[in-house]
Amino acid sequence: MTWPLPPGLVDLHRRIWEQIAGSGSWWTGEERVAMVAAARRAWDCARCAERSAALSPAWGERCGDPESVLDDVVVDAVHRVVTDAPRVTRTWLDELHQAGVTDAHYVEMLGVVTCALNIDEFNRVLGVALDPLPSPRPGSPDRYRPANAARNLHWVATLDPRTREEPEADLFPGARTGNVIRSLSLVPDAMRMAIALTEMHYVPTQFVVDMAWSPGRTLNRSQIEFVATRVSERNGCVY
Amino acid sequence: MDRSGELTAAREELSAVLGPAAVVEAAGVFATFQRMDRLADAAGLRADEVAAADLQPPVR
Repeated sequence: MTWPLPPGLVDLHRRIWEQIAGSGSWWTGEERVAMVAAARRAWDCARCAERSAALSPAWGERCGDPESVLDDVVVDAVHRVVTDAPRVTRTWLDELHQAGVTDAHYVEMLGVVTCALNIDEFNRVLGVALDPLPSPRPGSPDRYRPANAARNLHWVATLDPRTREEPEADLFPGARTGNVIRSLSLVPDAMRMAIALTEMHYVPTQFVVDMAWSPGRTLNRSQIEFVATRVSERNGCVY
Repeated sequence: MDRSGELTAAREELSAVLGPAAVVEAAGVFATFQRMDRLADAAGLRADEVAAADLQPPVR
């Protein structure tokens, strides 16, 4: 079946894959594409299945992939985000930092993995084949870290949503923005990917908390929020 | 019925009731919250703290 995709969707997904394939602020393109590959393998990972069924998320051995360019500690982190995110703990995150994955590395990984997951899950639900992994492009991370990021509501540093200074002024277009997307603000380009996907598939970020706003498409806002709530309930989302 | 079969049946049912555009939109919202749920939990966002921060000035 050919689905009536909204204008710009195919191009947006293509641009997201291109962005993932290039170097980011803290990881190379090769590492970022390897994160997507790890995320796809997580669904069938036996260790993830055992851990998800265990009483404690600390149970069992770390996930790994000898064919990945990523260290096992990163592969394990990607797998946890995909298969056991509600049981991620601050203690685990601190241990990850001690293993050399800084807060900025972690946030960029979250952005890459969750944005790729967004596209993959959209295709899966429509019964469409997953897009092929993009070919990584050479280049070095720019190691950009916004000057004013600080720990506040999240375990990771974020920008204040009242930020109006360049070059991050575009991240917070309204008086309020969703705190979930703000999670990625330590790596602004990762947040920009998430904003673009959110606007295409859900609502513009400045209207996330305005439940009276509706996108004027087939599903009204109440129906959209019903789907969102049901998904979050099934995911066991702590937030 | 396997999960793939369930998904096919759900797509067909929704499409019959609200049309194929609704299936595309529902898939988009589903996929968005597959992303958002993981992002919120993995970044340590907790609803209680957000609610407290939103209550400005604090309720006493």
